[in-house]
Amino acid sequence: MTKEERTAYHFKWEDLGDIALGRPNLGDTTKVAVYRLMQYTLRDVLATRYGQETACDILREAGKLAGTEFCKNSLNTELDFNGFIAELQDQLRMLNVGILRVEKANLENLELVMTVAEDLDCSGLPVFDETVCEYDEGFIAGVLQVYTGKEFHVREVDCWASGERTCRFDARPVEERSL
Amino acid sequence: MNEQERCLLRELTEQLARAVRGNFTEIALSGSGGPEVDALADMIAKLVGEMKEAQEFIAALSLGRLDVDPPRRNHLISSFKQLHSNLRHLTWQTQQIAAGDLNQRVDFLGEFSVAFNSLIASLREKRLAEDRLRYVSNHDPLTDLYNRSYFTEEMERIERGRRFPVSIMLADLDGLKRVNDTLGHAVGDRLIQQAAQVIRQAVRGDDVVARIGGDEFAIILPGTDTATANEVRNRIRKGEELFNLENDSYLIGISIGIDTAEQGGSLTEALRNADKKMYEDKFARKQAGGPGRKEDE
Repeated sequence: MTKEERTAYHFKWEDLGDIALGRPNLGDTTKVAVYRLMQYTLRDVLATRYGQETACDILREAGKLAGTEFCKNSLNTELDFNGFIAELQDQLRMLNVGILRVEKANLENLELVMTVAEDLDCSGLPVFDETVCEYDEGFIAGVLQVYTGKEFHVREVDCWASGERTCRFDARPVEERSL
Repeated sequence: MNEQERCLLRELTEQLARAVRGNFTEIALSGSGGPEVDALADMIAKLVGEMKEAQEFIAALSLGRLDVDPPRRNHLISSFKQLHSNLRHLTWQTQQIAAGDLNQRVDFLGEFSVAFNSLIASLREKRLAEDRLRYVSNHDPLTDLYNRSYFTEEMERIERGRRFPVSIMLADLDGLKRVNDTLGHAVGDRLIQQAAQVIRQAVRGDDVVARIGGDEFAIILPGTDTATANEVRNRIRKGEELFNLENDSYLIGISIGIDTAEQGGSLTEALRNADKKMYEDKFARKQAGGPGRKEDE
């Protein structure tokens, strides 16, 4: 990527690079702490510069972009709902992102309640009575949007950081909420 | 410590003793003490309140009331919340299984996971066996086409349906006996399979093609008028011609009769007419000395 390209940058899956080529000895995995170090320092800087709310919005938006690209590049959107969820579960587990489970799914109005246990972003964090998985909220919204073709609003209702053991997400199409 | 504080401590002790016995009724404190005692009283009230919430939630959980949400921010029952979440997911999975999805898999529930997954594996095997049985009971093993029994059922079903006009085609293989007698039954079987292939390639996916006798095939063409059925016949003729160009050890010849039922209640008659027309075609082909004519019949 050139400096000029960087000014009008739009993420592409290929930008993740050829990891096998670049890391022949260290491989394609790292520690969860390293990921969290990046996320929470970035969050800190964003919050300091733009305020807490905007920082959360930025993380949510980035998560949505990630979910969108992840779905387009790693998931089979031709599968039926159960098959799609099963594949998403397998992928998130294989990547050590978390253990995704569905608690409720109303396929008529597309209202879903999903949980993520052993979540990459938050499981094991100190408890400070707040939900912190805005990136996950965006990620799930992005995945569901690509799969269903509808824009989703995803809200984290329970989180490890708020004192729960499982992160719980409530997802529903945006137009349903505005009714 | 003054008397008021000692009184408060006694009340708080009683409050805790009751909680230990499972009674979470709040005791009205007789007043307030110093900041430390008041802070202690607040924390005990909070603890007893959370124990009460926990007890209600666990009681509901033990009755299978998964619709009762766990109390938020209650850290006393983290493990029960995890169990509640697992059971909710398990409920959803069971609903999916009941709806026919046998790809569900349970993890992280110890021996229950093993038992559940082995139950699903058994159901999967049972379904495969049922599917296989259903397939065998509906299909002709030599050609993989439907068999006579399925054809009869479909005739009845389509008769009651709305996809009229329905054309019925009867096709009879010419010269099978001669091939069997001169080249053997294995070659005769191959001829039947290849003729079946020619017919199948000429029809649509949802048309019903059945082998209803040794060398006899029947095809139901729903939503097909006479002109379109004749196009199907032409495609069969083309397939027959192509096969005969590429093979010289034996030839495929198929006599065909078609009739069209314009409305419900007339399919059996159409089948009878198609049969009659098929024999007329066979006679004409025999007279013309076409490929694969039944010299022995």
